Amino acid sequence: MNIDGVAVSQGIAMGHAHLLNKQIIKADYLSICTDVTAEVAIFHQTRLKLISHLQQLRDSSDINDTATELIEADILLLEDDEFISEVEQLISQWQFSTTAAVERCLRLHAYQISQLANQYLASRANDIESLSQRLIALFLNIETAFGQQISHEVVLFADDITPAEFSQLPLQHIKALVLKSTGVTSHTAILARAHGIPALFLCDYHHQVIEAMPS
Amino acid sequence: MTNSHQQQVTIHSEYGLHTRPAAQFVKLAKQFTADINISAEQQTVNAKSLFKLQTLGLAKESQITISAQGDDALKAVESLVNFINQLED
Repeated sequence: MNIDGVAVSQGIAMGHAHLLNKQIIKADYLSICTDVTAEVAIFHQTRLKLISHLQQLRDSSDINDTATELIEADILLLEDDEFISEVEQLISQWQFSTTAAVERCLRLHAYQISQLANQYLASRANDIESLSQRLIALFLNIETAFGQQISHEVVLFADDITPAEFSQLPLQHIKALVLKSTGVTSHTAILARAHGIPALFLCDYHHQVIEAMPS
Repeated sequence: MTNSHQQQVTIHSEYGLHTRPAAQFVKLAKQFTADINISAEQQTVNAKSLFKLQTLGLAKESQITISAQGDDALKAVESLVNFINQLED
């Protein structure tokens, strides 16, 4: 079987095909916040917890300068007064649950970015969606250790992988990446090149075919 | 009297003020006590907010005005203009 795509990181690699299915984490839009002070406190606790996780990831020795700078950007967003104020406002004025407030705020932000005239800048909307998912997962206590079930050498197939998700992958087992989306200039492409992992992006393949392959 | 200063600068780097340089820009802006704004195409945002800065879509050849108000306004504007001029990618 041949799969065509754009080679964003060159090289030749072999390994079993492994399809990465991302868990979609849903925010709670049904509950109405009845204790604003408590809800805001939970928002801050979780936000600080994610900052602490990101700081640990940033300070670990096995990531490069590019990944460090991208993690720094996520930390800056989580510490951003304008972001914090918008979420607090959604909770206090509109009685949103914390997860709904975070998702609404960051989804709107991602949409604004996706509408930018410059495609390179617009493609960063994915990074914001990913940050939203990680924050909501932490609120809901959902484990999102990304790709940790991979314990042998694989060629990893996925719809998309954000830089934050890339940083969590067990890179010693990832021989190559095959993604449906993501452009040549994306941060994930930069990280794949920096780690010497061959990568093929913008590939059109059917999940069923990959799932049917022996692993 | 409040100390204020502003300067216009054009972004020449290939990918504009994308995530990584934007984060560095915000970190630099936060080192100053002055209130700092960045304006482009009739939109003005807080230069210390990456959240807002990202929405300006500052690409190559974007003309921006950096303005600051406060004790270290002049130094803040000079440093941030210098940062934009030295951007490489």
